[in-house]
Amino acid sequence: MTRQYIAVTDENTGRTIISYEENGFKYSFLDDPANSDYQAYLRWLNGEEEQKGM
Amino acid sequence: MSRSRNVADTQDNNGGAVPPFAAGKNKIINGDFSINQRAFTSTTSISTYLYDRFTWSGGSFSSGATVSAQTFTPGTAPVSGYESTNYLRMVTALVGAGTSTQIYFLQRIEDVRTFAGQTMTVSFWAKANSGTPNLGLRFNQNFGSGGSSSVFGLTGAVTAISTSWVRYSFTVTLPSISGKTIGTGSYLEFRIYIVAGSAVGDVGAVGLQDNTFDFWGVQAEAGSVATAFQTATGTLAGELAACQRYYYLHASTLSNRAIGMGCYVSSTSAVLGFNLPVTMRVTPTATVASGTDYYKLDKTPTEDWVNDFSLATTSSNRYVLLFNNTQASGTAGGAFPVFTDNASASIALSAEL
Repeated sequence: MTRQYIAVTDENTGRTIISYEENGFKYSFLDDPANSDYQAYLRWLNGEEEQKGM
Repeated sequence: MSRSRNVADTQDNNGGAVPPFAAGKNKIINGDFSINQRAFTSTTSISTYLYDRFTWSGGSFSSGATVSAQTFTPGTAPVSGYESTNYLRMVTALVGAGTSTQIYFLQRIEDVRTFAGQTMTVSFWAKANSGTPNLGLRFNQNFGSGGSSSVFGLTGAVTAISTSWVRYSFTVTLPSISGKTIGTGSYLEFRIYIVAGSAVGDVGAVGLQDNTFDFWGVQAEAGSVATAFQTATGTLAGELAACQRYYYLHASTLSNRAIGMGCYVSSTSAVLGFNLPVTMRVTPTATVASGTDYYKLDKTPTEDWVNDFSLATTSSNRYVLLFNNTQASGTAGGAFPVFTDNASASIALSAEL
């Protein structure tokens, strides 16, 4: 199943919250390059396949 | 001036749990698998976390790999004098395997500077259910977001293991990071391969193997000798805290448990805040179990319920603020406790690499 992300910008902080739902869980994280979920989100934005090692 | 040395930091290769110990020697966190915050029992899903800090990965096979948590029968742990509780089992019965098939478990050690340019040794105990299958060990220096390209290499030769618990060690001099650009979230990763087809780089000699592999006691240390095994911190509390820098389970499996204080910040937005027990590596990802009325806002005169929460942008790696602005309905102001109201409710925070 393809993951569907939703990105919302917080007007008060200017930061973005990215969220998605999967298997009964809601995941949410911020626009931090050091966050591996945010890196996965950027790959999704760029149409790249999720990394599964090499 | 001469100075006597009170603590030796090398031992023979038998590696029994005998003193002396050197704090921080082992860069692998939770190397004895004692911490299991996710309550991992068994999985066939690639890239899911196992015991804390350990995950597994692979690819190019259609089915047939199971990773499970196992418990030592008292007295059967591989190191005399170190009665550990848990070990890791990986079972392969490969369907659709080819030359690119690979399966391994791994840990990422924060900061690619770790052991860079140094001779270091990775060791662990392993056994198989039958025969003498191979294991391979590979490192990955990952320079993080915005950093140089990853550097992969073979940590040690492919080794055949037996059906008894035996400690294996692999010594390598890791590449220098001179001239590299280090971005955010860099790490040093070690992968222990149980399956690798001939096309899988320098561990291709491992081969395609159907077997049952057991592991315990993973250690990564400076130097060319596998010294006595010890956990990264030496204590259960220390290991839990070390793990919680990367993952923290705030609430799980119990209904009607307090999970923090909340309030309405507007008529349609309720927040829930709580401190993290350990400063996390970065502001974490919040993973909140979502279901009808899982969380109760215990306000007066009447309670309110919400299905889930999202992470607020004002959260940090020390304090988490969650919000719900899709179901909550109340009057701004006035604090109230927030409870789980379903045994399936859970809140987890992840800052894994």
